Amino acid sequence: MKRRRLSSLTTVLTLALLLSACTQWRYELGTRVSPDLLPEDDPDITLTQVLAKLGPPLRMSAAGEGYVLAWEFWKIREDTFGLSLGAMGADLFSVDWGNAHMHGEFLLVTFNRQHQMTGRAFARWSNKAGGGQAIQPLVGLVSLVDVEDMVDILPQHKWGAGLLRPLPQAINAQSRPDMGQSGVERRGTPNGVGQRSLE
Amino acid sequence: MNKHLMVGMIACLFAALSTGCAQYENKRGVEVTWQDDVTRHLVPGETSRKDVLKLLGPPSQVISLEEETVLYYLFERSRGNGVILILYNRMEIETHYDRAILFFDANDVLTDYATKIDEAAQA
Repeated sequence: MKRRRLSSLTTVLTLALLLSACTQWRYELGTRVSPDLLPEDDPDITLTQVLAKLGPPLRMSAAGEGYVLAWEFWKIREDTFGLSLGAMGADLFSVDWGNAHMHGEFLLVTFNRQHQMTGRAFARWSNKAGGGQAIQPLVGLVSLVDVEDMVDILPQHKWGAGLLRPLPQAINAQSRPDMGQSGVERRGTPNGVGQRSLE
Repeated sequence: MNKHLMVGMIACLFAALSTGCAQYENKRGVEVTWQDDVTRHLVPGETSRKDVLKLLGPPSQVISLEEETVLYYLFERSRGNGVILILYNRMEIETHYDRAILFFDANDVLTDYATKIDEAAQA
């Protein structure tokens, strides 16, 4: 009798082990931004001084009569927990929970044609980036957490290829914020409005 | 041996054999050629864009503002480590950016520049 209970317990534990899982992804992009290195009320600070203090920016663009330079740091956390029959060969039932959190630091500095700093803005935030729960009785179709757009490579790698994109994107190349001629954009900026809305 | 116990043991063995670890590396961009021994040849007011292109090669991006031009070099390096224990899986990915930016005036002469090679990424 005791042996039977033990074997049943072992089977249940094994099934639980095979059917459930917890997955964590941790991303860290770049190095922390130190805005304190830039004096806020010094009108005479030059591009040379800013580059000496902060190093080359991660994003950069010509903008009107000058330049805009941006430094950024991201820390993204993605946690998912699921219980599924998929491991038993039957993709019939799954219970999932997912959550994403992000910490961001973004420093934007503008310069005029004479390479004098004309403005600066810094933002630091730490908040939830999405998540959800799902019970999917037949087929597991919905992905609850998606941070792919937040961990993409920087746009400089795609600069040349940007002009060879399909027509709507290629025509819009001069307005795209990742081409270096019309401003910069932060990771995760929605493309439904603004400079990409016609693509 | 009890049949249930046998199945349980086989499943446990399968689970144990399915665990693992992972290492990940991803590199994108232009080769890093802006080490200190190269950049000491860069002199604002003297070095021309031609000299820079000869030293550093083609950039990742060219930006223009009327007569001024900017050359931007980027090398992106991601490294990740992970454990896969079926019940608990964890991946950690760190991305570092080696970069150089150089400004040239209307006469193609270097006016400003900055470079950075992320030591943490190389470690």
